[in-house]
Amino acid sequence: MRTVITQGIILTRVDYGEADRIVTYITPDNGKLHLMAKGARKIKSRLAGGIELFSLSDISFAPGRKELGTLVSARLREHYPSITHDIERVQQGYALLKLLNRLTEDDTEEQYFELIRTTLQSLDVPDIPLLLTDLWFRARMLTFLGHQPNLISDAEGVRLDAGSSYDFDIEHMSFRRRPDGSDNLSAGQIKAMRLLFSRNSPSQLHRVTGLEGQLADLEPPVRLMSAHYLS
Amino acid sequence: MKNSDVLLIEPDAELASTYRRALEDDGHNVRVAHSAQSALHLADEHQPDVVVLELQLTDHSGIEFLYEFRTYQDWQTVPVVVHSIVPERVFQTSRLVFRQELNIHTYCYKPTTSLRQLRATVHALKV
Amino acid sequence: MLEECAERKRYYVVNTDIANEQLMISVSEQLKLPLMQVARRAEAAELRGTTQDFAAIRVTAQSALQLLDNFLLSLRLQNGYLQLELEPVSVSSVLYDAGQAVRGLADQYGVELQVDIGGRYGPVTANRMALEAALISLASTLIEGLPGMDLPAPQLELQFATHRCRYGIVAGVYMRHKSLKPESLDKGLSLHGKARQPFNVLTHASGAGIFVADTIVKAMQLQLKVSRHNGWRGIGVVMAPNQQLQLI
Repeated sequence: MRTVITQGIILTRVDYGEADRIVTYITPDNGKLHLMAKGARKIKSRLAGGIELFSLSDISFAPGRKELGTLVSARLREHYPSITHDIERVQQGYALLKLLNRLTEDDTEEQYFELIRTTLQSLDVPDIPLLLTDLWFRARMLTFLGHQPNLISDAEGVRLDAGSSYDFDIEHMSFRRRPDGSDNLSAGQIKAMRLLFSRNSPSQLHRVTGLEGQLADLEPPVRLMSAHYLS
Repeated sequence: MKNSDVLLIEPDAELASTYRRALEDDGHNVRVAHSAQSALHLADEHQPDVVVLELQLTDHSGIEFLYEFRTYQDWQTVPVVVHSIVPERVFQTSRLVFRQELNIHTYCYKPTTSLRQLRATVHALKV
Repeated sequence: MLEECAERKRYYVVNTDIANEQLMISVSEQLKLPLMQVARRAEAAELRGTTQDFAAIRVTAQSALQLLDNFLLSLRLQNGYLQLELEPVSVSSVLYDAGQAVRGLADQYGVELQVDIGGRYGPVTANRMALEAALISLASTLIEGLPGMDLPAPQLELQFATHRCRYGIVAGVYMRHKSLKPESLDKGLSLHGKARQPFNVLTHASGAGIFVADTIVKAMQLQLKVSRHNGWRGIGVVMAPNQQLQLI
């Protein structure tokens, strides 16, 4: 039996028959894998042990004829235990794993694996606000799926100006110049959004002075984009 | 109406005793688990009709229990009443996912939910 | 020079404010538990028309009052309103009294309480009242948390014990369950104010008792440590032996 060795992060687990489970991993080099974990259902209690959520494992599997392979072994490599100290982080972790699973195909690229790994690492750091990790994840997903907003020029093609205020046009995924109003985004907030959509990780963004104070203002446009393109 | 088999997941032994008695007084058969792990064991031994679940448990949380619970086909439609010391507003960033994906029937904030209200909620499920 | 002092003072005040707030949040969350217990027991008594719940209500309310008292002590110490005098203290005597103080709570939770004061150790340098308060706070947290670990009945035991180690004399609260690791305590303490359940392997609640104990022992220039006693694991306070011959 040929076995393949890789790393994986569990996205979902479902039962299969009397004794088995199907575990979906995301990997750096094999996309998404659907693997049969034989006998994993013998005791309906896999909250602890080798097959554990919120962890990165070294896995070996035997590829199957069609889409379903067989999990041969799984060994914990990185665990993110602080996530489970906080119910809100646990729930957020699950929600983002499910979102990633829903939005990706089986032959997904390495960037999605790195995205979820970085996300779990960030959720594991209590000092990094949950909202930052959540918005950053959504910004990266929007970028990967080709829905990055225009953060350079406005809807008329005019370069965004530090002295003006704008609101966000979801149809054109860009900013429209507006008279000053409380709902408008300022130049500072747009700058913050550029950072959010950059390649910086949440831990790097966490060190940017003043960014976290802007998150509440960035949340509505990012959630709007997310509702349009990530659902 | 058949008496329901209630799986009560409550980590505090003192509260568990009070809630169990109150639900038994209503004619339900109540099994108590204090942890997520033992709750899965109990559910495996006796299929519950209703689950009453505290989210803030020792070690693995009620969230982890619920995600695991819902991955099993025979447990996907078991009504779950969350009865927790954690207020629901804590999950506001992922609330829809939380309620819909996990098929939560009712969310009760424990400090303001009386025994009468809990009993009425379980009774209303009319399994 | 003056600016530096002012800056340091401001840093100290801000940090104390943050520490106060964290402790208050933790204790407030913890207090929900006994108050819910009292409310539901009272309602149950009302619905059934019985008096069997009154003893439990009394024990619960007493435990909550104890938590509040110890919390207020820790707050006063943290803010410098109270200075502790260190004196020679008999550890076995403190362990015995602390055990008595939480016996009602242990009975309520079905936890068997033991006090192991078998070793003959001399007095330690500490503050008796504060040491007792810290041990009571630790024990209350573990008593409430033990059943939530779903241990088999023989493991529902907690022991107040003392032993000698190379750093001094340890007085602590111990359990059979091996879930407590040294890093669990450090991790939990570092998560103060940052997580809902910093000690989620020990308790389903906020673990306020551990933070209260930590604040109290720090005021005696001491530290909480995970330690072992006859194969059991627990949290203890390490103290230096007192050279004086007289005990208070």
